[in-house]
Amino acid sequence: MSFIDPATVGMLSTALDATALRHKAIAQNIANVNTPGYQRIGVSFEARLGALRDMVRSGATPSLASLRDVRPALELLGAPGETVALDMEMAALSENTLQQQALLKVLNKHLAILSTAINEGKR
Amino acid sequence: MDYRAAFQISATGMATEKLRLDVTTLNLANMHAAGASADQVYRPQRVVTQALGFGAQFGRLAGAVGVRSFVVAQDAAPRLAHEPGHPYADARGMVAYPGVDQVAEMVNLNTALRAYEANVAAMNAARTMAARTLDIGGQA
Repeated sequence: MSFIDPATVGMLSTALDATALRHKAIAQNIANVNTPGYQRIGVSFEARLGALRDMVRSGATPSLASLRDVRPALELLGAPGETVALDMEMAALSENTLQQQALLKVLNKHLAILSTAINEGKR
Repeated sequence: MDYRAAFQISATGMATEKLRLDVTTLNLANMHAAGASADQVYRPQRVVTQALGFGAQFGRLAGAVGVRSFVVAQDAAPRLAHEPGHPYADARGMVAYPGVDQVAEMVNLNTALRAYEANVAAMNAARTMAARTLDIGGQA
């Protein structure tokens, strides 16, 4: 396995994009909590990772090209006019923020490993 | 990813809830303002909201995002009270007061307050996310 693995950074960036987009969707739902006839929006991303997950499970390293099709996208949720549950949105908000922080931690660790390799193991 | 949109969405949400609070306060303040006649009496106002930036172009947030709000006058019938000594009393001694629904206004007040707080929380979360993103590649 190569340390300089472009797919890790690519995947983490895509997942970070998904959390940023999901934050916008949740903020939009919260801003429209009292809008009559409003339909909630969400982000579909995890469901698109199936093929990638199978690839990793079979031992293969995903290439950058295989990430091209995995982009987060907005989708409509529920029915128009369905009430926006503020508590569910707030829970989703904190979950999303925590997920973003976890992803950033992984990205920082990966970059730290690269840095160690560049410095030949010296600090 | 651009965080300005996230701030803009929460800002429009906060502005809307603040407007709702202002309008509710205005209605409550004018609750006992009698009018010279039934058609000159204060008409309770209501905030009407509309979602922005999503729907037309499915799949992405485009242009202005968040929520847009308008203030419209409600078509509530004035409340008539029998006060013959009042300067605004008509021939039958009836005085017209605005048809403000006090219970509904109090509910609106609290709803607006909580929704405002939720928007503030969303904006704080966006700020945290943006600040942490700045630390990428730092000494973690």
